[in-house]
Amino acid sequence: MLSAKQLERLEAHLAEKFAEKVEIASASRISMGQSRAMYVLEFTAGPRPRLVLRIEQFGLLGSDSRDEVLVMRALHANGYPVADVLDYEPSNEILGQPFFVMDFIEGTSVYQPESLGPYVESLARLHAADPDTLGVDFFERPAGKRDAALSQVERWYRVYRNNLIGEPSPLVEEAAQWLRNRAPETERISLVHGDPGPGNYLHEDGTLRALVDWEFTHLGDSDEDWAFLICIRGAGLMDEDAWVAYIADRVGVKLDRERLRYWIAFNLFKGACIDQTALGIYVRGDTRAPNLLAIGTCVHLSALKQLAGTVL
Amino acid sequence: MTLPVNPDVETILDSCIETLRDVVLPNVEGQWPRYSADLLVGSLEYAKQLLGDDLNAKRRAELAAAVDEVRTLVASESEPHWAEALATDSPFEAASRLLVAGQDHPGAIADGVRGILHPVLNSQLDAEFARAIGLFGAFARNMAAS
Repeated sequence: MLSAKQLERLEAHLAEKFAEKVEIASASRISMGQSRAMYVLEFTAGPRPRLVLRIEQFGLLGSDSRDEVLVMRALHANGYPVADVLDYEPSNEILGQPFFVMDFIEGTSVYQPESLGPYVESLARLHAADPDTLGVDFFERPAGKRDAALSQVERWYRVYRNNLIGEPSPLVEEAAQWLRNRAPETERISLVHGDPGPGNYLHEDGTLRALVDWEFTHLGDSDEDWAFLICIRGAGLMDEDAWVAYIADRVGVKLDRERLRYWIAFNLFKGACIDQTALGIYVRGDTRAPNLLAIGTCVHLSALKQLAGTVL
Repeated sequence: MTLPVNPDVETILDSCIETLRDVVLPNVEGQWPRYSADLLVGSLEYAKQLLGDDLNAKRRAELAAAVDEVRTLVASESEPHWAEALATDSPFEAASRLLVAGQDHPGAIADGVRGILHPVLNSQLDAEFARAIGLFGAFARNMAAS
């Protein structure tokens, strides 16, 4: 939790940024989001009654806030349902880790069936947009036809190797090579959310309010997102056949099953890789929150079991 | 003054688990504290599962035996990648390189390598996951509710 000293420093920092008096009445940590520590800030003085604070956690899950903030700002400016980022502090000086502050958006992330259609439409709209018109040229664009897949495999493989505790996992190493050898071609480059599905959007009375958690967003293959939705965040809602039919019916996207299999394997691989970062942070004592132990052990093992069962 | 007999670690962990689960957790308010308390119950259950034998040494020995079996299988192969994969003291590194080589050089030998290594690795994976199942349950419960 945030200490009194941290809150004091945050108040002073925000007062300077917003050029007005800021008084924080409370800071409540919420369990939404694993990669960042998330707090709802309530104010007795400041530009808004409530804001959301999102703090990095020592590289947990292998991403940083820089690109996340840039893409959120770009999408917000383009009218997408994304919270407005009011302040980004890239240094460790105020809270010990980089953080940003964004608008509080009313709604819930708890899944309700009537929210799914608007969400899937919004995701399809994100994929259909021309990235060149969105102001996201800070993202590296895959150069070759297979680079949308290969660059992502190498990105997360590096995260895995850089965060190893002890020795390599032979099944992860084998899966990485399986993915390299079968990387599909991507005809059209899209903005890929990277972590889509229930739990990562806010809705209210059947209306989509915002898409959240943009730390994995990149330019790549939109099938990566559909696979993630089907096999991870949406796996409990319907089976793969039903998902493929639903997506085709709702937004007209016809998923190729062989490509889908690849991207499902990729997402399980990515999960296994990023989960390794949590164990390192926990073991080193950077932060000892028990969710990190869970992510670094059983969540990692669960992803690896599914991955091995899928492709090896 | 010393205790004639110390209480064993498992008993203390059981007491912590029961008290956290039955006394503390129902009375915790706030999303993050409740989530953390639920995960602590799972963490303690996981810790209990890790008591006893040196599981790291056991896993290493099992894998080393499997790698030795592969060594026999590929001993007469002239392709250099199998021998290169085995040129390390670590069974984890050797198994990794062997399986990667198997992906790059499909065939009967690659199938044989996988046939030796996969059962050992998958069995270890299943056992590891089973030890952490309480923690996984707590994590999944709270993910579904957020």
